Amino acid sequence: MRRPSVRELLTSDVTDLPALIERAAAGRPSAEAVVGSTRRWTWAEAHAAVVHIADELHRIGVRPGQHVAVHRTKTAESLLAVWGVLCAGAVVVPVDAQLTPDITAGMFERADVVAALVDRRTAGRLPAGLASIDVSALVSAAPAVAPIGQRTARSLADTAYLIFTSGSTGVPKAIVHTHASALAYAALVVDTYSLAPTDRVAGMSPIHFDMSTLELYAAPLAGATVVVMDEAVMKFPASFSHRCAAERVSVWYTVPYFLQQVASRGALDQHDLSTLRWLLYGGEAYSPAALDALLEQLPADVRISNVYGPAEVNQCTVWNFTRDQLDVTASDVPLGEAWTGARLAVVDDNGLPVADGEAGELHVAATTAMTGYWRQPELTARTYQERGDLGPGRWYSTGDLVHRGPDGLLHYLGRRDHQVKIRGTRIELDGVEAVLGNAPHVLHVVVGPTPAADGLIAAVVVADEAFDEYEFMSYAISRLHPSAVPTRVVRQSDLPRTGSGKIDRRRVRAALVQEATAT
Amino acid sequence: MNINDLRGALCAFINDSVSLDPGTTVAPGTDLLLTGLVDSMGVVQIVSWMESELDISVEPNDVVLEHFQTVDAMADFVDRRRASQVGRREPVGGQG
Repeated sequence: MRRPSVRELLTSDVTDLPALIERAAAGRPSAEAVVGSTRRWTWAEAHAAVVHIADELHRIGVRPGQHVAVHRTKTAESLLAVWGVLCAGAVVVPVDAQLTPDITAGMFERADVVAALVDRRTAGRLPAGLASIDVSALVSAAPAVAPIGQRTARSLADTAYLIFTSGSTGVPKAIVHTHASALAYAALVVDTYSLAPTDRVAGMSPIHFDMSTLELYAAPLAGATVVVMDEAVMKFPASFSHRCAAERVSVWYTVPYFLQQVASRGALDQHDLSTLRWLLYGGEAYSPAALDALLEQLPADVRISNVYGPAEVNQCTVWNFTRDQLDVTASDVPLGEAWTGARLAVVDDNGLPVADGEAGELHVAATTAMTGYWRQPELTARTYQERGDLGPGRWYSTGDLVHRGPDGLLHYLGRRDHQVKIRGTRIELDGVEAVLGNAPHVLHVVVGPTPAADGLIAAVVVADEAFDEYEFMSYAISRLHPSAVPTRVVRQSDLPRTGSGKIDRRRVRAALVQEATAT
Repeated sequence: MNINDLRGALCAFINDSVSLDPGTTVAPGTDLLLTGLVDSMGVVQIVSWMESELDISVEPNDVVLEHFQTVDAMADFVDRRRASQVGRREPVGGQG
């Protein structure tokens, strides 16, 4: 059967994201939509639950265009909550339920959040006066079929969701995506990975991670089922394997950090994963050898995709392969080529395109890109601008260094700035240092990633001997994203300086890696 | 170590070395996973602790949600695991 084009996938009856749910409910009402750990929803039932949430949001006074947080530990109801906010015509603002109330209060305020969809635990962690709805209680009371009624349609250019990135710094920035960028992404995913109604997609991403857009938008567009992996399940690779086998999951999309755990502790030999057909991973690099250690435990015909794209553009490259095409002796897996929705340029420090094969910063113009950073016009102007010399449209400068290899494919080289990925979360080292530099009795702090990039080490020069590591860690925990909290603190009497007298952060970080390797 | 001591030791280890929230004291019935007190690295720490301090072997397929949701669940799991390991050794030692 011929695959439909992106244009055909987005027919004229889909002009905003809630229409995806409505179309699935109309076309395949009794097909399975969402599988939770304790309950299943058909598309008709999911639609009814979504309308019920939207009605409740309107009842408490939320108006179209206003911002509503989804702030709960991830379960199947989290997907319904996101769709419910969209169905109400409001803008979704996912906020990580594991952050401290101090941090989340700032995020609610900065993002103009007027109400929050919560669970029993997060309900007690909201700023005073913020309206909230317990989604699980509400959904359990939803009718089986949605009442007939009119909804306020949104236009493609309207904002659909804000997604926070670099929650590590204490001043996270929010990326603004529209119905147009999300629908373009969904259509490209359905087309690129041949998502079909028969697919059963593992819902593996926390909804505050941009990777969740696949389960949230591409799956409904395809009419595929989402088998939701609760946040708690994702802490147990063997529980995950068990659920994949029991629910005949066909698509995975997650970070290498989790896949490495599945490879080592997923008990894959004891579970039948023969329905798995496509493994997508992204968010960070996956070494070919580590990837192969997973693949040797999976069905031989599984397709694999290295997915690359900052949250600002959703996705921009595509590289699909099977295990027999993987070179385990190579230093990396290629990023691949631009996918249909993106145009790419590699530019040097002067902003000029590099010669083929030379390293430079990747710039992206894409139909799936953000409109900008929420209320940060200067940052938006600096990183996302018209570049007539590169081609039409606005170009996002990713900060990622790449080059085109002898194989003709793009390869990732590293970051331009001091950004690292710890367990899949983007961490800006300068931001973490700025926060920790204000901790009591601290004079200087430099942080760097551990060799395995599974945590941060902090080198601390104390201001006086009242410094206490416990107090320092408590300070860090209450102000930083969990992935940005140092896993080790190393006290130093002083730090090496550059010629101009500044702390030589590069040298300190290199020394931290050595120190961590030595012990 | 009887099961009550085991619960106490597990609580102490989690409070001192694993918990991501020093402000919360973990009790045997505290849900560790929904509350974010223990992340996936914390689970690995607890498993290593069980293997080294309690001298039991924990297979990957044992490390599942049902066995680690609370300290109570962990203690029950360890208790069953110890019983089955003793059971396997007994025939070697002989019954007299």
